[in-house]
Amino acid sequence: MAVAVNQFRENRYQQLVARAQRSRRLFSVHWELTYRCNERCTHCYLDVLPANAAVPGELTTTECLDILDQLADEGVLNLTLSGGEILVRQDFFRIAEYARRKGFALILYSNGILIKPAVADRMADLHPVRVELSIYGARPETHDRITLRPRSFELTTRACRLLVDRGVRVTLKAPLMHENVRELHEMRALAASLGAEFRYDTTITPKDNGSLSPLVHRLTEDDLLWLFRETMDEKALRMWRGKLAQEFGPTHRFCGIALSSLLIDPYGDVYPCIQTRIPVGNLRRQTVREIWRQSPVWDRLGRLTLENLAVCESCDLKPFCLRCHGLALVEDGSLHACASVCKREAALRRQVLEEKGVIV
Amino acid sequence: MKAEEWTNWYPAPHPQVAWRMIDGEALLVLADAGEVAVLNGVGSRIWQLADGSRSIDDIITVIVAEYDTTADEAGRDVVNFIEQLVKEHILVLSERTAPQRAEKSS
Repeated sequence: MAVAVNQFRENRYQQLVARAQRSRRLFSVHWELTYRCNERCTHCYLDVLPANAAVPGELTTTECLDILDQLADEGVLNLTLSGGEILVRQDFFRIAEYARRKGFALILYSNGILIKPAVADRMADLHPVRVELSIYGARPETHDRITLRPRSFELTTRACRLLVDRGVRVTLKAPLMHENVRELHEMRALAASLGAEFRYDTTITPKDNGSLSPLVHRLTEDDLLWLFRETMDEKALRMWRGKLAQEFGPTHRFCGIALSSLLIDPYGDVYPCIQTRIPVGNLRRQTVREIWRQSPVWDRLGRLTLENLAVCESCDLKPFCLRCHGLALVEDGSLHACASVCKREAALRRQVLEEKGVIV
Repeated sequence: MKAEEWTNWYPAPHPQVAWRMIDGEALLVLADAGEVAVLNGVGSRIWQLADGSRSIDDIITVIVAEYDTTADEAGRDVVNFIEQLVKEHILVLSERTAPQRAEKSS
């Protein structure tokens, strides 16, 4: 009899995830627990509500625990809890502690404003895989100008320290905007000095209510060129060389939409992902299983492969493009349209890869 | 601790561990370490049994009944395996049965 643990085998994990996707097993769920928030970030895609607002339509504690039971029964492992701000829900720890007892791997998004020592203790007791704190600049004046909340930089960095001191893995994640992109290196250094990981994202989207107001914060072409030139180090260039060597077959997918994940909003509405807000069902009227296995939307999304995206198939920028179907829908009018904001980045990325000698 | 001293203890998942069974294999996420572990078939069965409600003796009895092995071999392998998981902060041992894994009432 051979009893074995194959530990620390990231490739084995990736194999299991790939197998889950091939068999269309629901594996990861992103759950927006509330749209109430104690910041008012200028770029936010949500139409957030005041932190103390009464929101009768939010899923109740009992409903949340029932949904957690269903997700566990369905085999979901990765559970991301986000907001708004998760900690403005009075029952947040009841939900999160129950989720941990049900065996979920928790990822928590927060702005950190409400994380004082006692809250940090409770978050550490949850043993989350990581806590992701949003950072909008390396300096208080930059950060606070985006959150519209005085002292928010101080409170977010305090939260980071409190969590790291308790052994929690923290990622500072920065949505890059015109206002903060030139502080990229300082933000990375700040994260390192706090014992946190650092991640950034260039995606700034219209609001879910249709307002285009966040787009004024989007990186300009100059910003993107600066960013790509600064971040295309040897490791990144190696990754791009490998990516460019791959062939784009007819069944190529640009992302994992509809394969193993979904998004739940505070009212029980279910969507394919954070960017693709096509209603798939509602958990007050249907079970997780019914939505995951019976909605016709999944099949429609599953067909978003290269052979069915004529605009991409003929595009010479496709090897450089991190296409997002959701952005194509919300900004360009169709799931099958060119995602123009992604194409803009692809063209600039190709230009920098040419400058760096990756393309001749 | 000697092997024979382990067998009356009750193993249960360490609080850092998130896990699911995928096609008969236990996939464990070790949150504090930021790592993952995958157990083989027998290891996954032991993991399922190590829910805090069974002693190591109880687990050995089940393994002997379900697999082509002797009590001596199973006892040695199960104890070594559980000892390894305890060292890796994947399992914890207690002298009593653990409470149920999830209760809706707080």
